[in-house]
Amino acid sequence: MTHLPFVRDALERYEGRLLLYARRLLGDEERARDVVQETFLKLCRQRRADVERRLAEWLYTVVRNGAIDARRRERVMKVSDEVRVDERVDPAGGGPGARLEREEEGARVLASLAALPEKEQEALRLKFQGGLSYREIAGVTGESIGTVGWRIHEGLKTLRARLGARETSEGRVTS
Amino acid sequence: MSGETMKFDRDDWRLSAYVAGELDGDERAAVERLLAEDAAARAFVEELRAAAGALEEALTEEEAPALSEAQRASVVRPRRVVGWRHAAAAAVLVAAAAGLSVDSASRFGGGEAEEWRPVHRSRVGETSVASATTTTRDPYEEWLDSLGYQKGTMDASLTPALRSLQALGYLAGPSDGAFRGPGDSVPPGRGRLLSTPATEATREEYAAVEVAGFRRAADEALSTFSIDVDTASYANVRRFLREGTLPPPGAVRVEEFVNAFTYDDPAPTGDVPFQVTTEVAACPWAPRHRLVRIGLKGRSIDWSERKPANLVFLVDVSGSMSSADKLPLLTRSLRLLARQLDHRDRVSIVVYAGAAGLVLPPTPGNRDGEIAGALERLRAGGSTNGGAGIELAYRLAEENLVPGGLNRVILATDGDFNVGVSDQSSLVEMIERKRESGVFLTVLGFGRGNLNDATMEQLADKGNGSYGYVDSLDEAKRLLVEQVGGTMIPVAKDV
Repeated sequence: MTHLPFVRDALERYEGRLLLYARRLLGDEERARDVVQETFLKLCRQRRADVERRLAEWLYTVVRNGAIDARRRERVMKVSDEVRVDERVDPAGGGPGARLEREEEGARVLASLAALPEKEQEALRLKFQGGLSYREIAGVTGESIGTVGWRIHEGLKTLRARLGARETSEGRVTS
Repeated sequence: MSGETMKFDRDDWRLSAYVAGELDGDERAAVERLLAEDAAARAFVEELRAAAGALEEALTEEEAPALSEAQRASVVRPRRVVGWRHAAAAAVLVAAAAGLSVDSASRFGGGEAEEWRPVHRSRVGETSVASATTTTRDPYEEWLDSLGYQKGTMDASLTPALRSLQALGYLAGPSDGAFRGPGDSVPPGRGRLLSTPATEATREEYAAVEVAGFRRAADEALSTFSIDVDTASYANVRRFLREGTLPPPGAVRVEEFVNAFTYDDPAPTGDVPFQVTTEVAACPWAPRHRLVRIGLKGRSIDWSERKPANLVFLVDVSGSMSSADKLPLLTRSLRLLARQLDHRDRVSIVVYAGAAGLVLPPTPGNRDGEIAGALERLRAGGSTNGGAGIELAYRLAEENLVPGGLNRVILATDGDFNVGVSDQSSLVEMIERKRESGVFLTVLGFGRGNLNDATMEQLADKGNGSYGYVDSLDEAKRLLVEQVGGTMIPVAKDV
């Protein structure tokens, strides 16, 4: 039984975020696409009432399980550190100079994020990109809420130290 | 309340959970008590908040990959047609797709391709030679003509401005290349970038311009002017120039250009609400005239020392808001604003389209997660009933009124009030009435093609508020973060 408007709405809302999450887990954009496609196909087979109230948690959980399965199957254990900053025209505008500045700042933050332990990165992404609550994140990763809170706290503390240090170091040129 | 006392411990994860808006009841109260007492804890939490903000912004800005067309289709296209419900769903899809292509065609076709084409028209009295020799006039050359460029009567002081426009790629040299300097080159296809105003092609509305002219001070010694700091015009004109179009005259409001910049005028001291600064200089284009600049600097109020805020976001989610420079930009802009609020503040969100509705009931400003979640759920669709939305927003603001606080309705829209109580004067009347209750109105304009500039400015004026135009996330930052005090806190009213 399909329920198109529901699935289409979910696709529209979560496609990008889930792909970013899956790419981080798999280190590969193509495999990330496959896993996310498979997730939405699974969504089509769910009863809407079963998933609707906890849709985000459900989607992230299925993507995560799919990514773990794919890694096992293909023995892809590497997690890419590459953070691509796309050069597509940004509708948020701000002129080339301003956009570059913002992207540089964003790239710096993302690079600091990529240097964190993988579990902290995952919790931070689920919180600040996925918009999931601590409880939902705990549901996705199978950890306790306390552990999730601790990972996010450790991650934020490290980011705070790194970003703070960057700001005070003089004349640092990033490409 | 358990009254639990909490010691400041940098390893306590509840501190970042507090920042993330994840604590409830007793735990939140305990953190707030700690913050009230301990400056080091306060500083630490602020740093965590800054890190979380930077991270959230970077993650929001991260370019997301997309599924391939085939992958998308496999998900949203029904594989078997088993009944009329599927057929209906497919028809909705097709209609949505058609709507999209019409939209992009009108934006790109009407917006750029056509305007770039030179205007072909015959001049009266020159049509007799042959039908093939009608005079072709480029609107750009006509514009240069109107400056007196071809006749050599153009004021020399304009040349640097034209050259900088040219250097920025907004302008090609005239056909003879006369003001193109050595080494200047215009990339192929970048010529003729400025075209005449595109207002006929769009539904943007601007008030007519009246030039006040010169008055004799001996005859009219008193003058009035508005002291609100609207800056929408500057950003809006920038948007026109970026698109390679000259703005319509009504979109250029000189005072808003002046106000778009910050000046180092001295701040008032003591109890005086204003400091007046005046400067006189020779007018660059008419040296015998004098230009007078009068700066009024209000007391600057530190955002962190402000009164508690009671903000109602009134968000236009009508169909016209769906493009990337509207609702998505709006969501991000309001998140920037919401991030600066704390537990003393209340935020509510009301949307309006076909019907007005409450999306977020009054919520403490430190529950970032809930506020961000509600903003995230906003979707465009339906037509606008600004009137009902405004009424609901004001009712909420009044019910949660903070006496002496910052009570604001923040209207975010492309200004397209086209259903229901959209009779402009009754809207304006209502807003004027509402400001007596202490609730002021801030208007944030978004997008293009539909912008009802005149209505929006008038609404903000009547609501004792300000009007800003947001064309980019940077502008949102400027208005809602860097200058949030100036945008949101009035230092005087009814002047």
